Amino acid sequence: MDADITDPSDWLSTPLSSLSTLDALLRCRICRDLYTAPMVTECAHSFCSLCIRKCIAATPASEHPCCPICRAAVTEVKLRRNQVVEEVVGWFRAGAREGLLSVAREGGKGRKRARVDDQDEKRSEAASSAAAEVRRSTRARPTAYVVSTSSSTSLLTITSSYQEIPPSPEPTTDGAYVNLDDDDDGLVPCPVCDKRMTVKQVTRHIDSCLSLKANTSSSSSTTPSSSTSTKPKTLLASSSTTPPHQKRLPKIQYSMLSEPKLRQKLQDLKIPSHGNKQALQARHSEWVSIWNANVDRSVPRAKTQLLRELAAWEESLDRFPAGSRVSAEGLEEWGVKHKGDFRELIAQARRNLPKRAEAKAEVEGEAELESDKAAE
Amino acid sequence: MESQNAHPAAGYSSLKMQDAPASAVDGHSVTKRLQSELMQLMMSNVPGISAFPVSDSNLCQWTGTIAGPEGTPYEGLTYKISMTFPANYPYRAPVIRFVSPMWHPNVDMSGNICLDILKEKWSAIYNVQTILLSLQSLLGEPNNASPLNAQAADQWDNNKAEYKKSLMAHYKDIEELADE
Ligand SMILES: [Zn+2]
Ligand SMILES: [Zn+2]
Repeated sequence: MDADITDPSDWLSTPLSSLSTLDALLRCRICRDLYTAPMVTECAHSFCSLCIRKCIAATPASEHPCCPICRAAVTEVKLRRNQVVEEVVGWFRAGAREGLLSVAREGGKGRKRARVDDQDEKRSEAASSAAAEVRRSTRARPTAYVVSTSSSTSLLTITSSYQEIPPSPEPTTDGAYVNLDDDDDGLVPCPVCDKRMTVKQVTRHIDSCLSLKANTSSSSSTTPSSSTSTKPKTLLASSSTTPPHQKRLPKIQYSMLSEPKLRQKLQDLKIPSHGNKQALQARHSEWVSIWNANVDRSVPRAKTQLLRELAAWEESLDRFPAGSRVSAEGLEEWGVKHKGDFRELIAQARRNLPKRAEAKAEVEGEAELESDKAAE
Repeated sequence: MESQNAHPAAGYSSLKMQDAPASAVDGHSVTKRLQSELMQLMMSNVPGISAFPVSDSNLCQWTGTIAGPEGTPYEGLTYKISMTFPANYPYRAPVIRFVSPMWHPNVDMSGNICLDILKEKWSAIYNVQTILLSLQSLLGEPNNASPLNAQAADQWDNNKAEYKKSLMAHYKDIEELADE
């Protein structure tokens, strides 16, 4: 299990409590985690690529996919990368968050008590106004929470300790560039001529390849300037945001496909192809979402990594009930399987709780408690 | 479903699962999302609602409580609900039921709830907290246009005293529900 669940509330007990707002703003409202490959919709809302793609994929065929926040219609092909947000999150996640948090916790020792009481008040205000907001709203919309806990907090004095923040690593350049193609020769095909070469070569090769192709195909044409129009459509569509060798997978109309044909599709993609049609369809749909979301990453991951993600998804199907079919036996089994995980979670939640409680208490030895925690 | 008989790792034999820490593949899982919600509920401590997984080990089955809103016939009463999360949560709504016997126009005698945000109006950004708050407000603002409990709807509209009487006749203290 992932023991590291971060939350915007992590900041509230520190003098940098207004960073709670920034922290919340950098999170996807669907998965509640910091954005991964954020995409902006036509209605200007942002979600992780995988989250919004899975959301669209989960929409019944009879309905039009809509934005989870404002219910405006969304179209998968119109999603665009939110580059700036991705870079900010990359910086935040790569160490800035942790660094700032530890500085904040350290710097907060002196005036902690006053600050936290202040925050507690704000927090309960925020909670009750959020509750009021929900109550006020019509039943159709429990107007989702905007996590803006401290809107007016006096701007934090970022002291000289700011320099202690460890420099954030470059946004994930370490994940060696990956071969997304099925073949494991480390090479990718040029999208134009299909010749195999390294990724670096492709970027250099592609321009010459395109103009070559343009020249040959426009030999019948009188205007050589028409070369742009001969660019392959797929390339034109994605060239602004995606490296050309990473092709998105098309969606499939599953109802039009027989089980053997669908199984063949999965085999062609080299993903597991066992199970009945329903299982095949669910797996294919999940794979398309995982694959296409990976294309949206500035540094995509290797196919083996994506397969692990698919395997983890498949495993979660066994742990959680399918749709409305909920069997008591299944739940029992699940419980036995994940006992350890859960203990860890509760322990983690408890570790976080005392921050509030102890700040409220009039404890002389507060500083010691804090330094104990810092030593953890 | 055939795949349930197979070992989860079936078909993934080429993967060395131990190579990847769970966190690396689990980033968007339903488990992680529910953990985050649990954390939020524990940290924010909104009065009048609570929710927690049923046992130390079961993250897809939660139990919750809702305090009746002030100024409604439910004031001072506390109701228990069950929440079951599907594998494709939050893309699909959890199944919510009143465990406490409930007298309400939009709740049937088995505890099934008719609430649009749990059905066709569900959104992936809704969460346990928004569900609990919506249910709480439903108690004071029933939708009598399409009631599951017609008698309750009629009483609500025409005879509040009778409504309160029926409500109390069905009510069970949460302590008495411990074994259910
Ligand atoms: Zn997300
Ligand atoms: Zn929107």
